[in-house]
Amino acid sequence: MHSPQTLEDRRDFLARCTRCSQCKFIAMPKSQRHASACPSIDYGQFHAYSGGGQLIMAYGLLDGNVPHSAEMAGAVASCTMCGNCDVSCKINFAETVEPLDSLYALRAKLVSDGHSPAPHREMMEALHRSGNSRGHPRTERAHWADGLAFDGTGKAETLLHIGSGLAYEPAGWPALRAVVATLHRVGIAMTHLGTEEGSSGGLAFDLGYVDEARTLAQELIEQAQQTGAGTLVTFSAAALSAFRSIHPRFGLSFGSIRVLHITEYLWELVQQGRLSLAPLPDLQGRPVAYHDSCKLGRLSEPRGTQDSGLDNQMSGILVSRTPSALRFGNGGCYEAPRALLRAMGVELVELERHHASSYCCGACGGVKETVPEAAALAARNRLAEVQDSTASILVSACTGCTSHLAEHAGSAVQMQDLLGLLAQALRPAPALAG
Amino acid sequence: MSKRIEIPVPVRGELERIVGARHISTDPAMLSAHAWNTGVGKVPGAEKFSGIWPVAVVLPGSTEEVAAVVKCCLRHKLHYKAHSTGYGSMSNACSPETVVIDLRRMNGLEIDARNRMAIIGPYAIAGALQAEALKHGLTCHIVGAGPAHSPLASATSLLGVGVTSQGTSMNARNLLSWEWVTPQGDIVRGGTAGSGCGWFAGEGPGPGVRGMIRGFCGAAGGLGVFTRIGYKLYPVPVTGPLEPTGRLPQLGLRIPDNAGFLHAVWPDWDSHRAATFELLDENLCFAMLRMPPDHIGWTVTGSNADYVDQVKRGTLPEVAQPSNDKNWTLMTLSRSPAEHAWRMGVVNEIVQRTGGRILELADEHAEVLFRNLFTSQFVPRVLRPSGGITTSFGVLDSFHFLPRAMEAGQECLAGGSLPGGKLVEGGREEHWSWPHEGRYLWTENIINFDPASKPARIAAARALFDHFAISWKDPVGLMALGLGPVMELQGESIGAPQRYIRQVKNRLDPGNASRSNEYVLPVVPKLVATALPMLKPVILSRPVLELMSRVVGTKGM
Repeated sequence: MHSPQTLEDRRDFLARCTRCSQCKFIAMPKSQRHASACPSIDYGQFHAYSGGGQLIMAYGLLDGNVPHSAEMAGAVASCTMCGNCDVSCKINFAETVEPLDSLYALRAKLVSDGHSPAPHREMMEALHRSGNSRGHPRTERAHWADGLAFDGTGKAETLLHIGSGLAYEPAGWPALRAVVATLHRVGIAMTHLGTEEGSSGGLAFDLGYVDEARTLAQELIEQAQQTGAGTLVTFSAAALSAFRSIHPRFGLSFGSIRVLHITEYLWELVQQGRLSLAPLPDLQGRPVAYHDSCKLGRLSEPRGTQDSGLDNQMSGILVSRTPSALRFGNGGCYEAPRALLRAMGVELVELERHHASSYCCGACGGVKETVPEAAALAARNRLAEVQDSTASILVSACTGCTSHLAEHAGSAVQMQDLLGLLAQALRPAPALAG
Repeated sequence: MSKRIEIPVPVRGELERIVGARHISTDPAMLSAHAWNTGVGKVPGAEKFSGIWPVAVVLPGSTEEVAAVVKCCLRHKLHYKAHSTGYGSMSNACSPETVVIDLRRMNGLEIDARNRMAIIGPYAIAGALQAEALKHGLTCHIVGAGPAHSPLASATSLLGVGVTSQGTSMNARNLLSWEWVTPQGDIVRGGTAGSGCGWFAGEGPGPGVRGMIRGFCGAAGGLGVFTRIGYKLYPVPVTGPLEPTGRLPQLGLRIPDNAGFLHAVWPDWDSHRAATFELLDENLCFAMLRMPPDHIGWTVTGSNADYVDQVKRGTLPEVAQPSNDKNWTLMTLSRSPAEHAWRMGVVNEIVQRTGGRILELADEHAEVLFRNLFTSQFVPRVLRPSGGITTSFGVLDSFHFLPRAMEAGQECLAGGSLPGGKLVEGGREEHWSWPHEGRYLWTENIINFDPASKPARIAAARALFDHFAISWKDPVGLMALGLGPVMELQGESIGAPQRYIRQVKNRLDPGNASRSNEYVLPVVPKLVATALPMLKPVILSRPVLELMSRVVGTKGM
């Protein structure tokens, strides 16, 4: 059975941090104001809040120099697990430090030592109780599907995975229903898991609850396989990240089921000529920035079967045993959302921090629930980046990012969910529509 | 766990009132980052944490807060150590009574384009400064610690050498006006800022103060806290963000219009040196860098696995082949096509006339190498293979010394970096060399080793000590690590700065509260001072060097 590495397994990786501070900054800053890679240290300021700082704390925890403390738990809980430190670190250190794997292991250590923060425990209890971390009743999970023009249960070629963020967000349902309805009109046979849709396990893993993450992942995979679907399409960026980069840590996969994010799926259908996108008049002539969500972007880079061990070659050069599995953040879902926006006639501008170096909005990793002021600061920092660009509209393909950024956007930045735009623009291709 | 001192509650309360409760910690979790013995530039021991942990870390938000913290420390007989981005362990606490002053919140950055300078705080990083400067057609000097380091820390507190020194000088000379919290906690502005007329000059008429408080090697945390400086910027014919190419981690930059980027090699060091003088005489290059071919190989590959694989398959590009070790990477920046043509023409003519040749560079490699040189990202990447380096000479001297320095580099490594040796496999020597302002040669022999292996640490320490021994017997310029106590051992063979700086230190900081292991020793007993020159031959004898290597390889340095 595959198991993610423990903190003890990561000891040598921790020891190799040179405290160079590269993890705090993106690889190629374009300005002083937006040079940071790390929302956590932007909030906490002490080095211990950075990726490298957490590695050092973790090493201290292992060797007995650093006991558990509220300050340690606070620093760890302020980290969104966004992985930007990992991308930046690898500019210098490639396979030899890999901070993110150690950050996961540190959180797992806090859980196993009984030091998981109270909000994390509450989220996990809610997840056990009702299948979502916010404790919404399971019976309400499929309300989004009320009124759909087809029977959304049973066996079908395409399984829709909604994710708890959208399933419990009524404001997002009209767009969700509209997109699903369009897919139905072009003849896609779809099913969904209704009220029984389970968690991907991604959040549990982020919070350090490794065993629970494995169980949740297994359950969801079994559910999906029972539908007989050949393709799973998820509307959740967080779930996509779990499917592609967390499940492989447990040796789990959906097997022969192809897994796609809704943006990838829709773009594929557009390219196949089954769907088309109409220009959106409201966006014409207005530059639009796209926010690369961490989960949809660098954290969705597929993780191969990786032996994280390093061999010592040429008298000291530390060499990955599975170099083909090394991840630098390039393989995330970056292009499909952009392609869809361009196909809607949108004039896209890139923020200073984009693609693999995108700055986290602060919503993930349990930060919003545990250290809300840190999450708010991250959102404000991200929105300031939009204000410093030529765009006044920010689009995200992640429900969590969209709602969190919208809370802090004020009037200066107009926050748009990509799904909402797609709902307006998607059309069956003319031949099919006829 | 190391023995640690608890800060008295009332003292903590005082510090809290200065910086705010959010900005002080005495928790080992927060302190751990200030006791991490990375050994960058040094040889670490088996222990990752230093034996000395600070009592507290504070995050002041202004110069006034820094001054108040310093005065608080003095009142309570505590020591203090300033800390910026904190590359390596030089900014670690040097006594268990130390309060670390982490300057993270003081990251001011203002470009004064008309005066070709920036006014920066301690936590403005070089990468961001360069990005802001480029908006005005300017760039900055970036030292070996790379884009994530603090130029203020470098300009005030260490040597400040860097791979683009031909075009961007070194930080001993890039510091303009300065704001300083003295060891007694007074706020002093020097140079033009002291007269309230801007930050554009470090000194007015009269005796120089900058030399006393910064000197050549820097204040190294041993003489108060620097909180703001004027910092020279250099005009480049490039405005706005450079165009990135490639993918992580192999990011490159499109080579700008009218820029040249060449890699030339020569058959021997004498012809290499002859070409160097001519290239410098004609003032052709913005940057000139000699790297050992294996380090070029590390740079043009995205991971260690990729590098080793390419070594085994023999597919590394020509620039990374061991035989092409007598090389210069040359970067020219011109303001017009005609100037560019002239520079390229003269470079080519000099290379050919001196027996050299220019190697083919694939665009992909040229762009990666260009970015790494222009942003000084090269150097942090040198730690990628093994995570352990130390370094050696810093020959700030004439290029006449180059062949001798290369020869001495080989003597010191003594085959340790050849197959079967205890150091990371590379060349016979591992020199990085570059000129400063067309004048001085800087060259240092990088010793790469596996820090997790005791035999490798011992071999690295021995190679390092051999550099000192060779340099002291037959000087090859100034030692890069000639800091702190090493200065005393070095003696007065290259001037006697420590004798004068010691007086400055003791006058300004009589209690040695601004404590640093990298600064001049406040007191050297007369007996020791007398005995040192006599003991030097003993210290430099083979058995003693071997013994010292074993001690350092075990306990760390």
